[in-house]
Amino acid sequence: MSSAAAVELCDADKIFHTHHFFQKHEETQKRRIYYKKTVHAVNHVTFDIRPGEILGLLGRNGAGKTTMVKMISGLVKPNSGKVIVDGLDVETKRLKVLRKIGVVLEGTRTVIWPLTPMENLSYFGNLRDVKGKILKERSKELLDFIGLTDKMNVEVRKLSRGQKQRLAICIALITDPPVLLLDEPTTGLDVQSSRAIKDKVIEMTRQRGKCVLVTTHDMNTAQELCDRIAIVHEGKLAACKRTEDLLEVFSDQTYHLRLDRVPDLAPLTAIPGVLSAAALNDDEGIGISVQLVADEAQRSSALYAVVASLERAGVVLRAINHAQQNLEDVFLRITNTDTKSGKSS
Amino acid sequence: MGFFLVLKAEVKRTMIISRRYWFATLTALFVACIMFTVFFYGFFSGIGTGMAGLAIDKALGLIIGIFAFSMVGMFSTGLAGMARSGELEQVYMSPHGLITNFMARSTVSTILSIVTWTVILSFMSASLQRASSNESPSNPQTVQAATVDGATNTTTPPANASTLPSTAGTGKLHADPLPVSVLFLLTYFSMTGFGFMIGGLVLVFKQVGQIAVLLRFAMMAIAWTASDALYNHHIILQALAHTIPVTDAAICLKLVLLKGIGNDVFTHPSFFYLILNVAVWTPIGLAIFKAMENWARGKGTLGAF
Ligand SMILES: Nc1ncnc2c1ncn2[C@@H]1O[C@H](COP(=O)(O)OP(=O)(O)O)[C@@H](O)[C@H]1O
Ligand SMILES: [Mg+2]
Repeated sequence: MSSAAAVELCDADKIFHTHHFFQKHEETQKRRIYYKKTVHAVNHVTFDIRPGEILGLLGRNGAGKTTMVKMISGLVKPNSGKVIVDGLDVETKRLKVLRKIGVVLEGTRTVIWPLTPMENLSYFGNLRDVKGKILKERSKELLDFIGLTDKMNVEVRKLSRGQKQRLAICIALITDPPVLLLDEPTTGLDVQSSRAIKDKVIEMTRQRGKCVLVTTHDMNTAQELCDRIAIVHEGKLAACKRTEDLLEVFSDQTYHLRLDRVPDLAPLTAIPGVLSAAALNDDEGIGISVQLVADEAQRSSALYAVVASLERAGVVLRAINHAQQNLEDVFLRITNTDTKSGKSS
Repeated sequence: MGFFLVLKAEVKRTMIISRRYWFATLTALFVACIMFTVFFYGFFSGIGTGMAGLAIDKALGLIIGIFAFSMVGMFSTGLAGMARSGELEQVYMSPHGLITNFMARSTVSTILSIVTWTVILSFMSASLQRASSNESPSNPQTVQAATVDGATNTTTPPANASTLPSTAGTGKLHADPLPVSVLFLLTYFSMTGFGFMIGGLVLVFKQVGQIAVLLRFAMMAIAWTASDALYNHHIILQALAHTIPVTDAAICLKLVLLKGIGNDVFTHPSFFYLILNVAVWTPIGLAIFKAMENWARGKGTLGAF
């Protein structure tokens, strides 16, 4: 099982310490001569990516996604835990691992601006021991695949941001690595550009059986692009599931009840098994939305109790719907419960 | 092996960029030429004709100084800038490692500065020779030819270096192929060794970049004034000067190129100190760089942070 995984993080942990001199303390806003700040950027994280799969790391800014990507590419050394790429430990076989991964980090400065896409590919190809005919053919093929052939001989500084990003992906693919790591590949791009990149990533993963890691803070990107999604929150993995499963986790817990008026919500929230109740008023009419516990037996009796309570109150019940969830709700829910439990503990 | 691959990639890139922006390249060269020449012409006419030897001495000192200046610059502000832009991480992820990459980069920039300074020095010498031509008629090509030979004789042994027309006393350059090439190589290695040490420190402590600015100017001043008069100074000052790799390199190069002591340089104490500098700075520099590279990986400062 684990030997089939192309990339594995086993209990990886990273704590950053930063030292500040004569700066305002972030919390107290007082100027200090010296203070030390500690960030637990990655907190004992374990996941794997299998060949032919796109795994998404979804999380807010500062959640620790980039740090995970950098740990896989050997740019950041974990405090503890192991990172394994294609059976090789990144710590001990870093240079070998580098031949197996293509990485696109954030920012557009990873490509050389005064050079053309073709020259960029040949420069980075040369640095990575790809040369001669193979280099030329592969560059042409990649530019064609990503749709930059017409810009082949235009200096990069004249290209748009989306085109630069696509070129960066080409550069990462110049060695034809089995593993591709993309850090925020569509952030800051317009709809068409990000659409194009998503399509190409999916196409490539399916056709060439690559193993792809994508980080994003955008739910839609994750939902459209990824086979599996790992939700990262404050350095921890809050969930790691197939995209459909993740959407389902909560979708069967929220119900929309369409009513003729909004009843008193207090008796409803008092029912055991009801987590929350809120008034609804959208284009489908008015009503309430109730969120129930995950346990099936409890949920069932709670739902009966809600209906009974509404009947007692004399409210007309028009429809009961399963709430259609999008990833955003799921994400917010997971990260919120996480902070709550984090604070209470 | 990796070194040559990286070197090839770097040379290609540099050529493409300087060709593509040929206008900028030319103007930069032209402005440097003019500034340098005006500066020295002023200096030269101020102290009277017949002192071209002194002028060339100072010019050579300045060139060595500028070389040291840009080399340390590459490893300090250059490296910090690369970390900020993300280029450093990109380089770090190439399977040849940072050291090989920076070796190649420093080689390219050294070759580039040799070529540039050859052009500038020849431009300057042409005007100097013209200015002093009524006193001692000379061949305006002398310095140019000598410099070209001196600069490139690692690859092409100069046929005419020893047969140059004598213009003694007016700044003739003695480009003895053996000592000059040995000195160039030693200078290069002591400077890169020193550069790697600074670079390693900059990787972890970004503030070192600011200190390095001071160091760069100090090196330029030292190279500009360095002469074997150093040996008359106080012992502590001497010791301090010898630890800076540019001092003895400048003294040796000046002795060979200007005084024409030829192979005698190999027995000069400054040559000994230069070797010592290479023997100390290269391993120390590389060791520090390696250690700091690892530390930077732990602190995550290979990127912008
Ligand atoms: N080199 C570093 N030194 C100190 N703190 C860092 C460093 N890199 C990242 N961090 C901190 O670690 C946390 C996670 O950062 P990052 O992985 O970049 O998040 P994301 O990519 O999810 O936005 C942030 O709080 C960030 O400030
Ligand atoms: Mg990030």
